[in-house]
Amino acid sequence: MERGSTKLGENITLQTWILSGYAITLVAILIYGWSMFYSHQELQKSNQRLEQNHLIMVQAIALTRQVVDMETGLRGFLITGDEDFLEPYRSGRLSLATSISDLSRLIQDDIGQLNTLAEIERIVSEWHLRIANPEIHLRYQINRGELPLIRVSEVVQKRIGKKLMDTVRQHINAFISHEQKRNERRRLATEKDSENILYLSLLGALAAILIGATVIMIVIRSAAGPLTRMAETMSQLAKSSDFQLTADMVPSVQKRFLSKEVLLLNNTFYTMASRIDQSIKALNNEISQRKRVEVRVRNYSKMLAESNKDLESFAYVTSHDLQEPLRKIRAFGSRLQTQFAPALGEQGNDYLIRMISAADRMQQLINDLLALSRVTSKAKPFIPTPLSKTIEEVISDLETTISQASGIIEVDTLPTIHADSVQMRQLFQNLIGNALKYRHPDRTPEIRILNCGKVEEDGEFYEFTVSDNGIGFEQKYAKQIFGVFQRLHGRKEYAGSGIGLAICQKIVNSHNGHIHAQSEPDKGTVITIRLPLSPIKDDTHEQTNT
Amino acid sequence: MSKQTRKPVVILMADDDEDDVVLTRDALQEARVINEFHSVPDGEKLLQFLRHENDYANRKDLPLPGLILLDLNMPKMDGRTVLKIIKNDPDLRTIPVVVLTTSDAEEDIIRSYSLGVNSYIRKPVIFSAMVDLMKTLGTYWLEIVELPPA
Repeated sequence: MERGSTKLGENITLQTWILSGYAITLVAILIYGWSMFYSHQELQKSNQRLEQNHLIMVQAIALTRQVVDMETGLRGFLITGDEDFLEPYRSGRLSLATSISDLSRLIQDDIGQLNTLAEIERIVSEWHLRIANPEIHLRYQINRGELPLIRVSEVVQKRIGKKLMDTVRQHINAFISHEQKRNERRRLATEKDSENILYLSLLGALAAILIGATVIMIVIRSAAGPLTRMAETMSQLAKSSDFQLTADMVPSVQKRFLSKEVLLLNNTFYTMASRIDQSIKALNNEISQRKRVEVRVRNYSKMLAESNKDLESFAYVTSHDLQEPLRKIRAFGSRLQTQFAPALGEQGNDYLIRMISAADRMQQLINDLLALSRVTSKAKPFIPTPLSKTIEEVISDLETTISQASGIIEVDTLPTIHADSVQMRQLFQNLIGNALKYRHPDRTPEIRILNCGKVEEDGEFYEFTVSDNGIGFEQKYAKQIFGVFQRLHGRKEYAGSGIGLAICQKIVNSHNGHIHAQSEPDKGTVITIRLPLSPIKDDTHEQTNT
Repeated sequence: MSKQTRKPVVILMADDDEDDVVLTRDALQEARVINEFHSVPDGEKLLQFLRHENDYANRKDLPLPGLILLDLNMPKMDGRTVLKIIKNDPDLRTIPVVVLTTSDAEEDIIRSYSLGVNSYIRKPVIFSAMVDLMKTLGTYWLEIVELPPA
């Protein structure tokens, strides 16, 4: 017993159940067989005893006859003097002795009867001694003529012999009747015994059948019943569409008399079934939850796309509309400057100059914002764009700047990719322009555009780098520089609003590419660009704003 | 010689933006274009001016213009609509119309020319450019070209 409160059978295996059932039945049959055998033996013994009794009685009756034989023989010899009559007397005497010894052997355990027998023997001996022998002697004397015949009648008339023999007969009768009584008792007992044995055998057979049946029932109950129920539940589950385990499918397990394996199987099966049921429910939950999440994500993406679109069109429209009042500010500022400068005085003129310069800067910012929003709003369909040719055109556009800075530009042969050619031009223009703008004051600017070849990353990409030997920047700003209006230098050091790289990033992103920067102050900067060989044009970039 | 004999041309500007009207007037002055200058704030008023209706019934003080500067984006009736009406009106279609607008939409440019506009000009951002523009406009429309008699 491993657990404290295990019920009978919980730890007994099916094999044990069957074997012990068989053993119990076998033991019951053995007991029954043995008792039958024993009863039979007992019956035989009592039959033997009955037979012995019968023998005793026969011998006892023989005893009577022998006594009569002896009496009659003696009387005949007495009357006739013929010795032939003495023959039955003598044989009677011999057989009587034999009979008595036989009887005493037969009834050796009955002291009362033995005493009776001894009494008979004693009286017969007395009769021989006192009656028979003297009378025989008397007759021989008469035969020899020594005595007269009349003595015979005298002797006979005394009736002493008869009295003795009558006593003997009484004893014999008593003996017989004793034996008869015993015989009767034994007969009754035997009859009762055989009757009992009959009942016992019937009872035993019945008990064996009952025990066998019980054992079979227990075995069936310990295995077959639960197995059948399990099979039924299984087929029910198999038929059900959703494998749902309802409460009525789980039978209340009667743990008594259940074999260990069946109990284990039973428990495991229902645990498994309910686990599967739970798993399916959990799975269904998960599926519906995922569906909900998916729908939500789809909605969000839609909202995001819309909001992006709104934001871009907002940026475009706003910058467009902001230009109007700004134009007025600048125009009236200019009127003020040309017409009323003397009246404003020195300080007034300074303020005015600052105001006009701020307005000019704002105009620049608005132009930059417009340029940025044009990346998406004025996007053109992707066409095969030979990048080498694009760069050639850019270099030719920047020729004046390059020659002024006496810059050196080296360009690898670049592939033709699917792209917006105008934007590609803008991209390289901004990058080369930056490399020239942020050149090192002590060095001749050297710009290299390298073809790094194909790169496998979620599809085929072309990688190329634009590197310079300019002033560079600290690597921690590598992400920041791609932000809108992000600048690392004061306006007085380097002109510009900080939109160039933001536009570059937007162009690269709208081509599903990547751009990143690697730089070190005073060493130079490497801008790495990855563009897909044939980018899938994103829907969100196809809108056109006015 | 012929210049002096000509009746001075009246310039009419249709623009809802008062600032622009002021600036244009200033620019014309700066450019020494001394022609009579009027302005209306929308398309409806422009038509009324041209047809001498309502407030513009006084033919003597408000003669038909020899040049119209037209903004496209105006309330009530916009420049596109009014342009279409003018160019379909046999009495008015001979008046040269110059679109002066902030719109750089291709569609507006194409549409304006197909409706019969004489020039399409974007409003300059800087005042000095405005002055230059007015100077050029004055030279071209008021001195060089021969306009039909009013």
